[in-house]
Amino acid sequence: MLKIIRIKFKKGDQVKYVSHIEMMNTFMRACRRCDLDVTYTAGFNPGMRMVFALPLPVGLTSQCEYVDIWFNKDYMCEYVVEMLKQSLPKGFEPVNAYYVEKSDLMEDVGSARYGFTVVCSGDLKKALKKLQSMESAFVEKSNNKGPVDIIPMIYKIDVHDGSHFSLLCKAGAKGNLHPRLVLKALNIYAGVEVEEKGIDREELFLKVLQ
Amino acid sequence: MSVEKPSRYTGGEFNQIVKDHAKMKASFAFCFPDTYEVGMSHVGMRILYHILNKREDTVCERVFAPWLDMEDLMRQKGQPLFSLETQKNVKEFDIVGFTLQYEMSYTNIINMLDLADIPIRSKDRSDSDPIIMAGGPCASNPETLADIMDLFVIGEGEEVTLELIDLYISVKDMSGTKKEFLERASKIEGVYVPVLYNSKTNIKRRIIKDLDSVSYPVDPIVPYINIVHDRISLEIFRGCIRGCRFCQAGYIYRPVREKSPEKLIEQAKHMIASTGYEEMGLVSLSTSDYSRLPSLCDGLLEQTQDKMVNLSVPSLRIDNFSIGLMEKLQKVRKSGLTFAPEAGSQRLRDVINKNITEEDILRSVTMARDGGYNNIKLYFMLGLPTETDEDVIAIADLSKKIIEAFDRKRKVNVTVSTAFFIPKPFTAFQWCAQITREEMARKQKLLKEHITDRKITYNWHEFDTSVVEGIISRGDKKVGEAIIKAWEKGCKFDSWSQCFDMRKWERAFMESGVDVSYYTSREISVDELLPWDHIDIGVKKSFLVSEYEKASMGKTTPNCREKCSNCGIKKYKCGVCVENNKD
Repeated sequence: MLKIIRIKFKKGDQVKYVSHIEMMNTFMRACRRCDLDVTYTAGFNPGMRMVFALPLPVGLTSQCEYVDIWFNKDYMCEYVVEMLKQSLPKGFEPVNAYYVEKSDLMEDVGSARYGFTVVCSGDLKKALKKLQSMESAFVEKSNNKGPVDIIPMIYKIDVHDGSHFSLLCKAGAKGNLHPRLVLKALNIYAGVEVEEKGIDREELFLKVLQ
Repeated sequence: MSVEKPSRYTGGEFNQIVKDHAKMKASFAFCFPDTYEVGMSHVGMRILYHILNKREDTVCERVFAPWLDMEDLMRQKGQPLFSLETQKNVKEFDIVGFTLQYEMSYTNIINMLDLADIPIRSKDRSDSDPIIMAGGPCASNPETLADIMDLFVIGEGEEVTLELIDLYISVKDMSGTKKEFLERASKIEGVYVPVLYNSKTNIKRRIIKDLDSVSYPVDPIVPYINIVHDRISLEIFRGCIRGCRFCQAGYIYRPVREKSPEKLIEQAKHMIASTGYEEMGLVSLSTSDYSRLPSLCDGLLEQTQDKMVNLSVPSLRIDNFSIGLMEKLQKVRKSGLTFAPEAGSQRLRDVINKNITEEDILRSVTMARDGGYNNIKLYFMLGLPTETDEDVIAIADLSKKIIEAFDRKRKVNVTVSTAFFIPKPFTAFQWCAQITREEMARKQKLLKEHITDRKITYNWHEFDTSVVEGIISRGDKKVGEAIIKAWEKGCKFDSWSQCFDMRKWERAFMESGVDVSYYTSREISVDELLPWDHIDIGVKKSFLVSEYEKASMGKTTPNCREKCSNCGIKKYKCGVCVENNKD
């Protein structure tokens, strides 16, 4: 019997530079510190069995991250949240938890909403409108895997004021929009310099909920 | 982000200690002159961070050398060097302490002072600048940095650092000056204040007699980024009984003082719970010389196996290697084996007092084979005193014999690494010549030609860095000036091959009038005054002389547990010296 608990947590400003792999180590160490009985993977290098949803780019904060952890014991979800709250470093904040039948977090992710705080050299609203009006906008990815068209992946953009906007976009294993590419595109296609002051993943939408 | 690995500079790791500076009487910036990953792996820094922060009136924060990209950004933005915990400028701390772990980090010290906007030479600093101090193994020859530091701590820091803080607070309470502080500090045992030094008394090294009695960092910081030694470090003893004649650590950390297994097991248990680390490593100069190793390992494994923590037991010596221990460790995980015969021939091993025979080595290799190990690393030195070409070729022969002992048909990887011998202060070889760069190249080539087996991988150390390390190791104030000059020319991170630039060093030596061959390739007479003669490390100079003479005759010296050879350290009345008296 697999006992998988999905935990939703926030990643705050203090830990925004902690990379995905570092975060995995952090959770494993936190589990060992609070003595949660986590299932280990079999094999030569046993590790705690846990799977995180879509990696968050380094430098971003998040209100909505997920991790699935396999346990050997039947824990109350509230207990796991409480234990992790106590043993995770400041900046990681477990919100809630629930049992899942099977873990397919990576496939479950469908879309995400990001909140941007920027300093824009021109009119941010106009620039974003210009971008959205385009039929295609190819931007070079940072990993040199060639240019990608970001337009089909943008679902919705809401401009709040001259320095804040939010972006609803495609996310997950089957196509993912890196939020920084939007800033890059603004520079290329709308001719404005946009300085990133902060990007927050406000929501990660899972296809199947609870 | 415009810098690589920003977590190096942000702090905020689990178990970090943050205090309110306004409520403190003294603040200490602990500076490690290398990157975060290197510095955070250093147990000494962990110990002093913990000991200083245990005081309610004192705050200790960490500072590392920013990597090149971060330094560029800081200089461009006019951001001075800051601490990790509260991002406070280093210049605003009361005391700034550097740890001297290796000579090739010295340019980073200068660079860090400059980045902190603190004048480099002590004579150029005022009362408003922090006290700049240094300690650590390389402080045993403090002269190279004597014009930079206000004071040095010679020996172990657990007690004397606290005495210095006490003194600092009392001088500050009386609104005393830096000069008053330094005058009184110079009277503390183990403290060397270069500007106040009169040549009448020697500076006596500080040691901790009972390691069980001093506080150990059982709640260490758990970094986010992968550091060099990314595990719980459990120091099991200090010192080494062996007395290898080239080894500075073997002399300057005497005598061997062990922590008790009970204390260590208790600390291990606490540290697993407080860090959640997946690995624990034992720290000492030679693990297998721990007198109660079997019971210690049993006790530790009880703690680790249950929590799926891997126990790593490094620096096991080949002559008393036990297959039982290997098997115990394999219960959790298996890793490669490392042996350090240091020299290829028996004659040369006798010269350096590495008391192991070829038979010992091959026997251990057979045991390793039977234990299922496939990776073996071998460490040797080139350029040891009296070394001939036959001795060099003997390294290749020994490596070949090891492959044979392993059984040629089996899958086995042997890695042979050679470093060049560098004479260090307070060793039996402190008077010896270092081989020239040309000789280094020749010997390395000779060995490479003789290693023909494809199962052997050969790595060697850089020639030029060995030359510079040789000069700094036995340097004096003039060499210190050359180091400042080298920094002015852009030298920093000299232990990183991508940063080291020999041409800049050569020009710095030339402009400061430092004759490379005078400092490195000449045999010094035992009567000559040495720059570190005013430091009393505990081991008598006459003992080093006799070891030097015995080396030239190829005579070995028994280890401290076999027989006391009267090195002089007995006067501290602790550790292995007291064990011997019981017999």
